[in-house]
Amino acid sequence: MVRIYVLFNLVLIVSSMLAFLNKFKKSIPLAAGFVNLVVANVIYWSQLSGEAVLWNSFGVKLILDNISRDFLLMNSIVFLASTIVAVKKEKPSVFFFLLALFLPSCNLMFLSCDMFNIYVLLELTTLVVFLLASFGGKTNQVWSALKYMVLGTAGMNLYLLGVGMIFARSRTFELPTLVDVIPAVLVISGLLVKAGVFLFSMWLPDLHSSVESELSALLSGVGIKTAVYAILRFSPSLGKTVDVVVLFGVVSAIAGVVFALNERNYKRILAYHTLSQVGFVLSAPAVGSFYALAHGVFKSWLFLNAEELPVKDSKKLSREKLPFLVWLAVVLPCLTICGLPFTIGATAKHMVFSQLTSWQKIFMYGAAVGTVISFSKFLFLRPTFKMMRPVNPLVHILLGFYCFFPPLVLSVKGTEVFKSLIVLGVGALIYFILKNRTKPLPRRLENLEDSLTIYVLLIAVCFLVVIVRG
Amino acid sequence: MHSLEAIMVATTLIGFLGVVLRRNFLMKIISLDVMSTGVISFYVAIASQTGNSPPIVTAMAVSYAHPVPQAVIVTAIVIGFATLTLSLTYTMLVVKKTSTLDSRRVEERVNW
Repeated sequence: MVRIYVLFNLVLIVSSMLAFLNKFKKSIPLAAGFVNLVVANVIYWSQLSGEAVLWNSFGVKLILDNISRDFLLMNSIVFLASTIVAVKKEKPSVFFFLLALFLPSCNLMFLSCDMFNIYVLLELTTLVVFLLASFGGKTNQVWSALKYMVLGTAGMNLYLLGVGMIFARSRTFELPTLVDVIPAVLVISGLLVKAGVFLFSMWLPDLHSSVESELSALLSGVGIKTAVYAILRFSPSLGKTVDVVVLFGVVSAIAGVVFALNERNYKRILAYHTLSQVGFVLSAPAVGSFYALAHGVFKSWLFLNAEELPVKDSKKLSREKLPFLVWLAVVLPCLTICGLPFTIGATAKHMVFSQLTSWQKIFMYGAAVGTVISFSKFLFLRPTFKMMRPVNPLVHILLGFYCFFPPLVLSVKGTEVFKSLIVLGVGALIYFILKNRTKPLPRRLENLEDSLTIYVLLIAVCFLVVIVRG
Repeated sequence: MHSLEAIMVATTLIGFLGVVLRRNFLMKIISLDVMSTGVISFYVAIASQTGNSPPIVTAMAVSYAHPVPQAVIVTAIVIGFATLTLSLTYTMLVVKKTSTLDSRRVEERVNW
């Protein structure tokens, strides 16, 4: 099964070359996205699974299991939605080639299950993301992409060092059963930089808010999830070190929300929320994959909505009136991310919360309420009953379908519905109290110099946590 | 850990310190390269833990080097090369626009 799927992805890679022909440049990524959506749905709903081990080769392995399936479905949905928006714009064929290459490289990433495959595919996706993000050529885009590159490469070198240490002991690239302190910390701190965790990856708000909406959707929805996937794969084999991931997950969930609360630019708000949502995923690594799927769907919807809004500043936006259909498209994903019952967001939140210990629950409920406060800026926009079609109706239908698809959303029981309604109510209430008292927090943490210095400190903190817990 | 490997790990960490401490952006990228060179040499050192002869069966050899780390690290070399060239190219673009290499000043001029 896995072999056929790998073959399918190789076909996608080869066919992405066709995008260099001017005639096919737009139809290739669209067709690839559509076919891949069908394939991913078949895999997801028929629960296909499998494993492919390279013969006699030191643990090199591809796997298709429930974690992979969640990520594959997420990749297919987000990619198709972003591509539909991207092909409306006039771009050189290289751009569409890179776009079409992004899909299979992420697909393969979400299959890999050994330390070296993870490294190679992470770097491959990083290079593609770097090229896509800096394609616009504006100085701030190029600079934020460079920041991403420097931090990411430094992190991956540390990761590789850790993998080397594990290999020296076990003589295999298989995901290890129990790791020593030093390699475990190196591996984790390398991956956290790319995963979009607060303090580790402060390149994220700049990069995701400076590139065009469809790329933001792709990077926020799928790009960072490659590293999140790697962490989820590693987490069962890390023993006590997994506490570091959970700790920084909780910190990220809260700090991201605090920054988002005070921000006013629409895309920057979303970028900070990405940091916070990744925190939700990592706080419960055992069930995080479904939250990743949910986050991919609603976050890409939110980012693609930036195309529909007349102004990006939340203050000015609150004075505008939106046509009803556009208003609906803006408000629905906001409600989903807030965890409205019977949406994919509520199911995902319920799954994460069921895994948390009591002290984590307190903080995570705080983060959930914070998310509602932050998104209330958009929840209380006013509609007018003017009939005007949204710019990208197909995207809203596709993403809305997965946000409210019954088999994905109906697992939440009575008391949980009640709890999420309370969270929504409390959040909205606090929003009205705080309303005019927020102003953007300083962006010092996002400087390259400062984030590198903080990174060194964080590695030390990781060591400390592991030693104290061990 | 053998002394050779320790030296390679130290090289990697020195490269990392260079990335953190140098404010010149070009120097940061060069330090990244030092870092990845350290990692690559570390893998080669690991490979020689089991022996020094090339992993081809010969009558004379007593112990063979491990072939796998050397084989996989070629990928890392290629990736490191791609990263280096790409970031240098785009640094050129940034320098053209901001006419400075000091990363703090670049930051100020980009976000003015």
